[in-house]
Amino acid sequence: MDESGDLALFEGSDGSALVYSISEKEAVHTLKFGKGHITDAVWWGARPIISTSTGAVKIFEKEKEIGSFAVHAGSATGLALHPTGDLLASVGSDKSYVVYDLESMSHVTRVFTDSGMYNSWVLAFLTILTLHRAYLRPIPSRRRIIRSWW
Amino acid sequence: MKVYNVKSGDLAAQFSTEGPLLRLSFSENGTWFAAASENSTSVDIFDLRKPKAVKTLDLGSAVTAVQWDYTGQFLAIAGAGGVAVEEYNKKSKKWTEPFKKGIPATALAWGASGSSITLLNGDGALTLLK
Repeated sequence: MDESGDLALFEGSDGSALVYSISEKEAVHTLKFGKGHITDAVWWGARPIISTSTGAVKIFEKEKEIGSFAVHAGSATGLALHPTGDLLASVGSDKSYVVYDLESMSHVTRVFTDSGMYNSWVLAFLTILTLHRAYLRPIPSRRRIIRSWW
Repeated sequence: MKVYNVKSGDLAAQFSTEGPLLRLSFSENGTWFAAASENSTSVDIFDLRKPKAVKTLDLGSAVTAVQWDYTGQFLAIAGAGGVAVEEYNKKSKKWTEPFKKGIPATALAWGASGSSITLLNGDGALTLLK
């Protein structure tokens, strides 16, 4: 469900994702994502983001694909959006997690883990959130976070 | 389940469930998360600061989806046999189950302000609970 609570995003049966409006009682958008099936979905404001079993991460604006990443080798199994809004993370069965900057539509970092296959949601962003909540500090801006990575 | 610090890429904590992990949902309290594993009828609640699950909630049928509401007070759980909302009272430190209904679902999501829950089933039907 998106923030308004009106739009539900789910997979259709024919290589498409559907955005269904609860108030209008009909599918308002059909998103073509190509091969594979959807493994996870998040909303970036009003924009749907999906991950697929072919390893793709795709960002849509209404029905138009405005961004696409193919970083994972194998399936992308989970997505998470950072609380500051413009950072996205995905995990994959290639044992890595990838962080993307949605404003510049680029991938910022990729970390390989010693884990077996991930079949899970991303845990990545919680630490920053927790830390800053714990000390009652504001969450740093996206740019500050990225600068500190480099 | 592994928790990473994204700034350094270091592993910060590690937890385990009995079967392969199916769904994870973080609570807005910043330290709790709920985990459902495959073919399990229960959901485990973990605290990042504790090595083992702090609570296990049983749904009575195989769990397929789990999600905290935005307050971190309510946890919605869906499965093959129905859907339930579990409530954690911070003051009494007790769990209660204010809502349960026999609607099978494969996915669920809270609506705006936690005032509704949308369920999806395997036939592609959406059910809205208000």
